[in-house]
Amino acid sequence: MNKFFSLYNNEMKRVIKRPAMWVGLLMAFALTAAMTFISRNGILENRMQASDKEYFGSLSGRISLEKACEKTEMQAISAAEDQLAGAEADYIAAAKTAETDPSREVSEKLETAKTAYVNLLNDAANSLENIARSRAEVAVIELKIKYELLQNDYRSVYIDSMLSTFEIEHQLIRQMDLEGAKARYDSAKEGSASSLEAFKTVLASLEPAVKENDFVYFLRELIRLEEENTPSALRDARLSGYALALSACPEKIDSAAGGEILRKVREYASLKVELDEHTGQNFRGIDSYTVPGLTASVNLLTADLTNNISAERAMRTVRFSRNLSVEIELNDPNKVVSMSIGIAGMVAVLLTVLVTAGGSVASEIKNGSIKSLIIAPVRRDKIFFSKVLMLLTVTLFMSVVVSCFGLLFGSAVTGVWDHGNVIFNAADGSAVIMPFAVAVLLSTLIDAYGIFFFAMLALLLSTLTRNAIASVIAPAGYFIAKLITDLRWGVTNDRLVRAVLPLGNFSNLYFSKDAPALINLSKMIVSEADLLMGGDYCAQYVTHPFSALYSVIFTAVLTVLIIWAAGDAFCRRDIK
Amino acid sequence: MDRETVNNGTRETVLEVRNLEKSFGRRRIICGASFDVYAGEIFGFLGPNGAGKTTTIKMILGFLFPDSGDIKIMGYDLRTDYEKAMSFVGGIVENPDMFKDFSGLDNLKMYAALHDGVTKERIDEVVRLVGLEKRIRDRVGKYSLGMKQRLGVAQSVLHRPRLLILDEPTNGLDPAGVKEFRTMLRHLADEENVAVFVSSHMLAEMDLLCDRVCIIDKGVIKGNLSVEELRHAGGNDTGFIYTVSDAEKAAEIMRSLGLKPSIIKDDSSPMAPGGSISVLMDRTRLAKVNGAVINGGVGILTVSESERSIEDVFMAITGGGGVIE
Repeated sequence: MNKFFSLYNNEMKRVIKRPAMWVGLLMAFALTAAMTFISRNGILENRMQASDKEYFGSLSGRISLEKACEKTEMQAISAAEDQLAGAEADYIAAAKTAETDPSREVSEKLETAKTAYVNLLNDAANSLENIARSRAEVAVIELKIKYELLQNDYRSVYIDSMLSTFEIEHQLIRQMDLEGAKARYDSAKEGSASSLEAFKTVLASLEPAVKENDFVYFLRELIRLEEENTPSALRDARLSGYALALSACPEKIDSAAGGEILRKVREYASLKVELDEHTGQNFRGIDSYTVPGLTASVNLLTADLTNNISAERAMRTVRFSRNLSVEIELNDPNKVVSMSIGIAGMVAVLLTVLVTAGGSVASEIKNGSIKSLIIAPVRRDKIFFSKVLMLLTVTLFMSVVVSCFGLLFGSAVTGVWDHGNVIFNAADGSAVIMPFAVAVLLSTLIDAYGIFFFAMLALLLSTLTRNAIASVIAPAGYFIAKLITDLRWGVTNDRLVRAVLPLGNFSNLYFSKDAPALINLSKMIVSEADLLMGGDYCAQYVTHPFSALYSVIFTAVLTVLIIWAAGDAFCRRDIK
Repeated sequence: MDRETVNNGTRETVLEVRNLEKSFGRRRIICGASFDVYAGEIFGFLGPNGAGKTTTIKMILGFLFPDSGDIKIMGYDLRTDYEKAMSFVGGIVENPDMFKDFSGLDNLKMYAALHDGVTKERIDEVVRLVGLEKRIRDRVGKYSLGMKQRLGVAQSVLHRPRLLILDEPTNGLDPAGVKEFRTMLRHLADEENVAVFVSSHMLAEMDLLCDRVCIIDKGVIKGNLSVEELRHAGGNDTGFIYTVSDAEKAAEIMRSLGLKPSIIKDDSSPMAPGGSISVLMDRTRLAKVNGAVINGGVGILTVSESERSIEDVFMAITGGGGVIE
């Protein structure tokens, strides 16, 4: 064992002495820094505002769909929207008139318009539900919310909406006992003079048990708005945004990033109100478009903050609302950090480790320096495994250093040091909550696992071919091919494509409602393991919770086989 | 440990090679090679280019795996007790290649870490032995060939091996360096009882250096005797050196008489402007050969008797001839 560690020590001395690792680190730092600057807020804000104005300026109110959506679905949703647009316009006009004219005739017109709109809404929701479930969940939910909003007192609707079919918040909702809160609200409302008093009662009952966040914050906002008697349009927009932000990621409301969501919600709502007032169409935009638009933006922001909603699902949502897409996604400080590490920094680490692995046997044989190792009284298997351990050390060291740099640098550039938590949860009530920095480190270690696989591949080629260049180029080429196909087809539903090509997704985490939290967490591993496996092992269509384990185990077995093959080649082949 | 009684003393067998076979594809490189190397001797391993010298050495050092046969070092089988066997071995194969980014001292330290019992004092002692005190802390990448050779020797003796294997060790050394090297090897063999296994094609050098030689040709061991025995191995033939007016023509005449002359080109000799010839023959034929050469129109300037060298025997055994420089 002493000789083994002497060999390992010598290997580490050699790798530290060579410039490759240090050049690789510098390159990783430079790429991470560059990606951080590219993806941070300031660069994109102006673009977003311009696109927002363009979006809100669209008076036709058509929601354009992403081309990826199937045509029939687009047509169905578009048809539903078309039908609704007219009835909605009539209803909103009647409501506006009713605000200033309490005459019976106006009230009857309002009732008629409302009935017509509600009926159409209900029909649209029912007909679209099956289609939209897979493509536009948010749109359906929005339709439902609008329907219920008009049917009921909107305050209770907002509470109900939080008990909606969003997967994520179920656990958190239970944790916050919102059902209990709703019951208390209903009870309080019966005995109270006004809805406002009912809310205050609920708030008082909750405060000792619930921290100053989330639902409490929401209630406080509701009360404040009621008391401030803000214009109804703005109030509706705000409440809608709050409700949906809360439903998606309630914990984030009080964090700096959550505050950012609200700021944006307010901005959009304010902008829309101004625009509508200018054009004389107050309600229309907010009900039909602002809400989905706000929903989309909120979902995206919260998805990025929590990683709870898959990127694809969030992207679908955004595409449905057209303009509020990548710009918002990249605005998230946490996303800035994780992207710059994952996409830029770790790629540099991979290339450096490949160069080190490729040269560890081939170059030493070519330049003859391996002779002194062979002549020494140490078995070849010890020499080989000392190189494996060296490569593992280099991989881990570089990965951790680059991720620490990315985290610190990203925080410094974005100005956000409190990144909050990442939540992995499921409908069964289990949840894993970890600080963002820990999640970054864990993700980095998983990246390192993938990089180690490629390093072993390079070591195998180095041992078999005795050619350092080929040993680097082949695995690098495989990785680049995977990267390209991943970016090109990463979100495809085509199983054949995914099965044939070495696909995976860097951040494509899909959480099954029925899977325990640990499986959901392991899907983060699977999504990296997917980089190696591709095909039906892809997490997004995991129907059996055990599939994720298959992928992890298979990848580990593959790595072990590669190490065994390389070791066998090193130990049994002549060194001429 | 094996012990073998030879001549006047009892000598320890350090290296034992039996029936070694090695092929690369269909080409048979080593065919049933067997020999022993004893403690305290300098053993020369000679052969023409492509004879299998380096292949044999690489099998002993663990670079190549024999197809069959046994190799034992200090009684330990290389196949089953690799680490134990190799702990007795030091070696330089072809040009010694160290880690160029490190100093000579760091290279020695890294190597020492893989052996038991190598102290800092031993490293310093070995550095002094090879005369690299002033340059030992410099990067190996800046060393000359001679310095690398010295460092290679230092590395090979660092752990006080019982068997020292050197393949073409004097490559790149100047004459003074060669002499110094020879002295050092002699010291190792005589004073430290190290078995020195030297492979080289520098026959004159081996003649001066070795106690025993083994000649290999086309993968087959052709001779395995002491240097003295080898010189007399050809029977009664005596070596003669002719200085003539036309070496080429003289050699041709001698070949026609069934002899195997070797032309020695020495352009620096004003005494032999036409060249010199070395030839082995029964001394009773001297007059006839001289007559034939003169009748052939070649002037003979001098004829002297030379002690038969292993070069002569080597040439006889391997069928070598032609130009020796």
